[in-house]
Amino acid sequence: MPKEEGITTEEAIDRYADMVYRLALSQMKNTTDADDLFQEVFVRLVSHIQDLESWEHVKAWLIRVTINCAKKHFAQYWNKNVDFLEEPEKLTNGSGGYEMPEEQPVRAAVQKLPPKYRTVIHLYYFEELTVAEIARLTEQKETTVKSQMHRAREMLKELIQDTV
Amino acid sequence: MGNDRTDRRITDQSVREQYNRETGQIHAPESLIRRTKETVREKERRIAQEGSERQENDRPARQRHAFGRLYRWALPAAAAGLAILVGVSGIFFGRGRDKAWEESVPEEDYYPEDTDQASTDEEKQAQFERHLQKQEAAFGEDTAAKEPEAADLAETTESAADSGATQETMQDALPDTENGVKETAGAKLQAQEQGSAQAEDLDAGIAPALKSVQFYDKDQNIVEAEALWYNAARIESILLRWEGGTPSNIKVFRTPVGSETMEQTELLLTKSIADGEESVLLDADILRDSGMGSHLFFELDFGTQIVTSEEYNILYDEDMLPDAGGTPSAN
Repeated sequence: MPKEEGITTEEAIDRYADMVYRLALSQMKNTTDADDLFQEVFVRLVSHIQDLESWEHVKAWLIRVTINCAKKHFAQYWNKNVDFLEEPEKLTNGSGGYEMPEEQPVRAAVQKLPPKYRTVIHLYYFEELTVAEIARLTEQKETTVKSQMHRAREMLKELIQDTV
Repeated sequence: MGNDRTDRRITDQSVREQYNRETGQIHAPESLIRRTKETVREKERRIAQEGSERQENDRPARQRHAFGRLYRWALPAAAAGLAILVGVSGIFFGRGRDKAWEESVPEEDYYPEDTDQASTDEEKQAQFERHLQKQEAAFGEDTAAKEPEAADLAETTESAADSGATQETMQDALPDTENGVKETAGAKLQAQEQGSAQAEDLDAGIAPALKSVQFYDKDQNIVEAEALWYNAARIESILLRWEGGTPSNIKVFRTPVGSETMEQTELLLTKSIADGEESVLLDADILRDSGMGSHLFFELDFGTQIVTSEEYNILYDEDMLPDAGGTPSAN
């Protein structure tokens, strides 16, 4: 397959900045860590951009690396043992930086799920990936993803009911 | 049953729509995008610069590669050769040699009947002492030169072995009594001990210090830091070299990145060092779970002094390996 033209890291940032940032926010517990993760992912992309043949490849690569970087972050002793007591993130729109006025009960409930459930819920709901695609990106069996989806939905339902 | 399923689908669908609505309002901050783009440009510039430098230095790089291969085995091989030569020279210069020589020489050679060459015992003794002084001087020079290379030591050993004629002279000049022979052996041993003491004095002049720490990849190329960070995924081994003595052991520590993490410092490895070693090659498996970043440092225990290395920033990142590809299988 011939390589698509115009695939550069800066263009990738323009196209997928929101996607990576939303995924980073769904994985991390505060905006500072999400910012760091966002930067790390795109800086890594510089070394790999020449190997990616299409924008679909770039998108899949970004999702996979964002998830892996977040896993590594939480695998560290320090991060495993310290829980930041930050309030729900300051959410921003494109013009740069104000707190969203609207309440976000569902997002808040998703943030309370364990990280692996957060990942599958976000990818399934928002990125609209199939179970097979999620399984490939997270390097798990499809059956594992399905069971994670099921448990995540059950937990989410309970959390939302509690909130309401 | 059917109603339950319908209810659940409706609930799931509404949760999904609500989640998408809420998440859709999130956008990456422009300042973050701007900062990231600047960092990306900087990294691209650096990669381009390194690429052009690599092309210019392609030939020396190959030479370095070959040297790296050689270097890995040269030190242990040289150390083994040195140990063998020291052992062999011990036989020639030490008690073992004298004993063997005494046993191999017939008794009549100790007590030569022909005493024409040295008419009196005093003359023989004086002649022998002159010869002994000459030998001591020669031995002292060798020690002063103190070049640890195997070739030089071999030369010293050979010169000792080649002095067969001298030994014959010595044999002629030996006193006529067995006590005299024993005294001669004792004198030689003393001279040898003096030489060793001189060598130790030379050693004592150098303060214990860590000479170098180098990281090697699987092809024995030196792994350089990228923006002051070493990628542990590339590192296969760590070579430490020191001077001014031999540490009894080496300890490897790691501190996670971040502020106030000193209490998280953990001991990764303690390695005992054999006497006389000047370097050690450590397996880099201990760095495998370095995660997003940690600071690595080494402690060399020289007995009277503990030498601590500087800190090395270590990151474990398989995605940054040059041969990792990076083309995802999905989509």
